[in-house]
Amino acid sequence: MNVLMICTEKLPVPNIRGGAIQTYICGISDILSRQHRLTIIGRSDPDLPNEEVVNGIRYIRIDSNNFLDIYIRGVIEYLESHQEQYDIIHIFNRPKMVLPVRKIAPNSRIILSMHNDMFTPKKLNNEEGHQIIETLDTIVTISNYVGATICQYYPEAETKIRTIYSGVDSSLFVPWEQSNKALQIRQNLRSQHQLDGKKVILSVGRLSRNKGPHVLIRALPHLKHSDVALVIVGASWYSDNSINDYIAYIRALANRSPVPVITTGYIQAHDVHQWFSVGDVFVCTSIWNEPLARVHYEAMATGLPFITTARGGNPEIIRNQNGLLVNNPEDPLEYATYLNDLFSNMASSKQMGLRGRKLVEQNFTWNDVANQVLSVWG
Amino acid sequence: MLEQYSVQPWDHLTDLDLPGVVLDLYAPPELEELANQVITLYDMSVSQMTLITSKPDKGGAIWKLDTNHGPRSIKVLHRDPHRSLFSVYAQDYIVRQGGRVPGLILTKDDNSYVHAGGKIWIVTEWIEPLEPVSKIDLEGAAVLSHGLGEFHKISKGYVPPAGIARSSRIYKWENYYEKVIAKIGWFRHIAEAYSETTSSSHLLSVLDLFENQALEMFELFKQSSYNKMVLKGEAYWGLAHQDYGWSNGQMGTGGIWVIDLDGVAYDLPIRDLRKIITSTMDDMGFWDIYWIRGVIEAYHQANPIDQETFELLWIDMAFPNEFYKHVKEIVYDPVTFMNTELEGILQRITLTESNKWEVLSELLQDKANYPAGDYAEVEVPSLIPDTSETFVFQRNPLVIPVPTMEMSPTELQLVEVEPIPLPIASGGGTPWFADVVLPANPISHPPSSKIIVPQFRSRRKKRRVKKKIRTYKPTPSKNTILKKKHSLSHPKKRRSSTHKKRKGLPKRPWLNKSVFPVRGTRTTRRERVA
Repeated sequence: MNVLMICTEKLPVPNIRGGAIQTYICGISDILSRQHRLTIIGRSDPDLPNEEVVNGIRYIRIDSNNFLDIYIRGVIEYLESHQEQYDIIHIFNRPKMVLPVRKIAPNSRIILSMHNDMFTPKKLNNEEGHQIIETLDTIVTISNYVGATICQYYPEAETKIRTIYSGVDSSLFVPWEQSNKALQIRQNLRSQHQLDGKKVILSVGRLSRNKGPHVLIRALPHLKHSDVALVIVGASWYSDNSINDYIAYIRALANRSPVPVITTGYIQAHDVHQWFSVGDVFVCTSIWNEPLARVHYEAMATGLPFITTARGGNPEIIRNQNGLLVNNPEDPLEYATYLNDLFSNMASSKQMGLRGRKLVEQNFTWNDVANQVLSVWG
Repeated sequence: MLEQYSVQPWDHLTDLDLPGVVLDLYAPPELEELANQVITLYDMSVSQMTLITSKPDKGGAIWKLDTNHGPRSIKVLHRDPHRSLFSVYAQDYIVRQGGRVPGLILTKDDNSYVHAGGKIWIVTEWIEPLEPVSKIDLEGAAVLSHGLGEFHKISKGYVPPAGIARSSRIYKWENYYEKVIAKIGWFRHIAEAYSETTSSSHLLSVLDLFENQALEMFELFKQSSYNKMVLKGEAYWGLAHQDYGWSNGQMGTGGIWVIDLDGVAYDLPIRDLRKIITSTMDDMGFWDIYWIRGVIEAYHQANPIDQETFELLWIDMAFPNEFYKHVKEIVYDPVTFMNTELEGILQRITLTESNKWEVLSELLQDKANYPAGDYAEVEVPSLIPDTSETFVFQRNPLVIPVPTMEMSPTELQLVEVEPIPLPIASGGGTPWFADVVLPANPISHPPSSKIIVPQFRSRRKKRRVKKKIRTYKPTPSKNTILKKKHSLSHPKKRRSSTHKKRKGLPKRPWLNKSVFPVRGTRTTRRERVA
């Protein structure tokens, strides 16, 4: 079949600048392109040509300036001028793209992948929402939670929704016990940052109130272990230009923490696996209704036991005792209790992590994801 | 884009780089050079260019130009160009509606702005004479407030051209209050973590009080008509200035002129009004009901408010905004802040609090004096998914029953607002895009926008007065706040001798005496309001 995938206006494909959706597309596109003729439309980037063919996949890049309406306009113009027939048009996370695309491609099956809550009445008016649902062949969501939310607004969507969980590169994210390379990375990074001999708590993600790292920092004084460190990957508070109230707040807390808190700054998508090798326990502190953060898969693939929050789709990833669930992500004591337990029983914590690894190998590789997408395409 | 030079902040420059130079009266030579290049795109010859002020931490500046077409200004807007354009087109709109804001001068190619160095530049009329109104008495404040009302009213109906991102805060009131409440919690965490500092225990002792006020007012807000009111839409409510005060609203020919529109955004206009009121109460150190009533009434004369709006204004005044504003700096350097400034801040805030609630409770009764607004009853859909065990999706081998959704906070907003591009609202379900023509690239190919500058404007000589630092003198007698004697609000009585008579200002026939509330006749005046 001739398939078109349309990514969002925010970040380019391939995921040279990160992004969960972009990473998802990158992970599965090679596998998909072996079975079908694949074109991927994404936003333009100074480091990427506007048109190219790589590994048999055609990439088209449209200027967006980060604005959806400009991007939609550019995508429609491109499709109109090229008059190519696609059997399937697979749109990512932009319901507003659906009706314009349907207008110029009346015969294609349109599939929408939803990675978060774009159907909320705050972002989409009701009448348009119903029309969009009506137009779509299938709605693929990354968690049952996302699907449930859509059905809350649009009950008629229920029959069209299909959950396809995301995946991870299980050859890149590996337990350091199973890979010499990962072990070396672990040892190097740890000694560079004075983490030798420490039990490292790892948190990955932007520093924002939604993400909740401040609660974890407030848990640190309640830990009963002295040889602990917290590593926050993804942002830093050393660059004064980018500091805001929230970042200043957690910096102020971290400065009084009895446990060292290390920030790594922004880490490129293709390097972040190195920091997973450094950790001993992974914590996701999301306070908002996160659809299902992909870092869970990355942590499990690396063999890390994890703590996550009972928000959004995150609880769906807890299975076979691979992790622990915090019911109130605004309560530092809950984190502290779990961390104390995990650190008191490192052997059984490690087992928890390895159960996660097995779960990933069986269900959450990019192969698994791609196969499910292929089955939706038919 | 004119040059490879990209405008950046210069607040990193120290005394070593520029000995004795005041940074906000300095612009880097590259910036001045770029300004000169921008000037060549305009049909004018400049005999003198004087830097008026700059924002070294943001990368903004404004110069006065003496030209063959009279005095003008050239300004580089420090914000992201997409954000700036919203404000530029707003200024243009207000001028065309007849508002007293400086008119935009077109380039030789009929554009209303230039994009250079990664920023937006505008050349505008230089309005003179302009003089700040008095800050030491109610009359000046009432004039200022009236000018604000005029500005808000005339901004209604503004819609930016297609492709320009909208700047809007109108839907974010709930998020704002919720954010402030969360941050008051942060103050507590920091005070606890830095308990050895001088004022940490003082702060801890007052936090509960302000936190409870915030929570109570938030409850009142949630019960208010806000949700119905904002359904009227952004254009209906118009723009808030966001930085209005004695510097940005000054007296000129015909009335108050509003300058520095960089930060305008869709918002409920009372936000601006509330800021003037509470910051003045804060400056004074006590709440003055006559002052507040005078200012609200003056505003109402220019831009009538209704009961629901009054209620929101009241809630916003009651909410501990000033406490938050003064203490929020704590996060940046808690040790220094709590060892030095905080004590003075807390003492002043506590002092101001002493009669705040007495005044507010009396003020609340004024609500009945305003007409009820007309807001349709609308069902706001529930946004929290309820239990979803029944949702079992087909063909997924890993499907599990979805756990019960608890009431969890809706997605929280981050601190700073990025303009969210929204399509212009369409009716009837037809896709909006069908009727909207987007420019290919609003930055590189600016749509032409002819501005019709009324003939009489160009004949006026205008001179802007530089910003002065004003010291506030409290109203004559603190002890007579609630007494009738020597009330500034009574038009028939002579004002007290401490009131200075201003000379040389033009008469203001547009300002009728009903600006000043007359006790006992309020009802008649209210009845006149349509």
